[in-house]
Amino acid sequence: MAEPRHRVLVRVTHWLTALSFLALLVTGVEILISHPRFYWGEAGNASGPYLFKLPIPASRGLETGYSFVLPDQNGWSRNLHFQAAWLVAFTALVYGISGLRRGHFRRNLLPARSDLSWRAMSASWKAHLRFEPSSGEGYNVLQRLAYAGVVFGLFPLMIWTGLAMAPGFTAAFPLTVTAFGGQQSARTIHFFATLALVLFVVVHVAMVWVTGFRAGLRGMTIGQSKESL
Amino acid sequence: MRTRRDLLMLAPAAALSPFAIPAWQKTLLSKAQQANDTAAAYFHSARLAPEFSRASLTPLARFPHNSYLTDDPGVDLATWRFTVEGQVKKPGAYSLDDLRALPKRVQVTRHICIEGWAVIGSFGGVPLGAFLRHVGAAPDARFVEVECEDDYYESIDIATALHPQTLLCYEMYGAPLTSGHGAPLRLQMPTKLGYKQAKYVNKLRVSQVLSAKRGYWVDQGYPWYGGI
Repeated sequence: MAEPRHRVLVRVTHWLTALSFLALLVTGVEILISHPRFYWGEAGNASGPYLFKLPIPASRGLETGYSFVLPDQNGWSRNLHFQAAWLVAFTALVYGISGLRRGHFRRNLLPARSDLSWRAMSASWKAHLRFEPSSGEGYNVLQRLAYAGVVFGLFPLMIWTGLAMAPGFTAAFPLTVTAFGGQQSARTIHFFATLALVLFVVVHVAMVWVTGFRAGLRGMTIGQSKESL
Repeated sequence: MRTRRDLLMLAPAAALSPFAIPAWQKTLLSKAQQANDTAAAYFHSARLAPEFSRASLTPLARFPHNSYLTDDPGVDLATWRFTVEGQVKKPGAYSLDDLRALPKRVQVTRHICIEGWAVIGSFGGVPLGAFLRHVGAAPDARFVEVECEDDYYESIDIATALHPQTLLCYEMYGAPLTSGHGAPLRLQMPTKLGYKQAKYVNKLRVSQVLSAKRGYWVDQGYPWYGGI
């Protein structure tokens, strides 16, 4: 049998992360709709200035322009949110240690220096926009940048800004919140990082669809190699 | 290629599978919830929550009060007493002047609502730890529970109760508490979310076992720890 498309550890951690992300997203939305307004700095509330507000109804008595409130599920949502955060954090730990030891990041995720030139990048963009199949082995430079951005950028940012909102945690580690310029800034960044992750998932699933959904799914589940299909 | 190590990689999935058994779900989920609280309590060190300059204060008029039960439980301040019971050497009824006679702490700290907003306010009162020493709380006590003039109630662990910034708060912005903010006495803990900061507090119990009634919102599904 040929070498599988993805190692079993990558496959297992991929789906655990996908499951956690779904739970975090749904519960995160539930938590957010209590107060769909955003602020910058250390504090901010309904009676003061805000950065922006989402044009949606709230689950609490907040002036939103709607005449009704949504069901309030903030309580259990927080429990599930933190439960899923534990799962994704441990999964990331296993994935991270393994990725460093086995050279997964270096080999598959980090783009080659030569690929980061303006010429190589724009060539890759053009190829994508023309829907040309990727040439060569492994991930192309845009894939690598997207995956590495999620793994090394957005994921740590989500965990950090999440913790920076917690009064118990920031009392123990004040730098976690001051580094973002305040608790409410951390909440706003947490929201935008969520949008970026959702955008990533949409593009990711779309690309899997375009390049062969069944083959992609088989590669990431039973681990079939592309050659054996 | 399947190796034993590859199979071990499936351990996380195997560890999750008990959650799929309906009869076990409730127990497992509540155990997991306790694990969350335990892990969170690790951060209970004497490290202080951020304190701010008076310049960053949210004006009192813009400091909201979420009152789900009442905005004014009709407290008679003249006859008001603070009842202390449980594992203490000096149980009984304490007046507001008794509390004012104890060491006072004023702090400008953040008050975070579970809804997501936050304000920075000025709070004054007696540190709960100092009050517990004053009434001779048992050294092996584990919980502090409070009851309120309305039907609100809350409970915290002893580490939170002894935290230097945990106050029996009788002042905000240098003036006695207003009715909307819990006059004459409320809990104030900048290490926890707003729903833990019970208002109109009139009874305190020191105990070793948490009673079935853990908190007004907690008993409706909110996390008991309330620090994240």
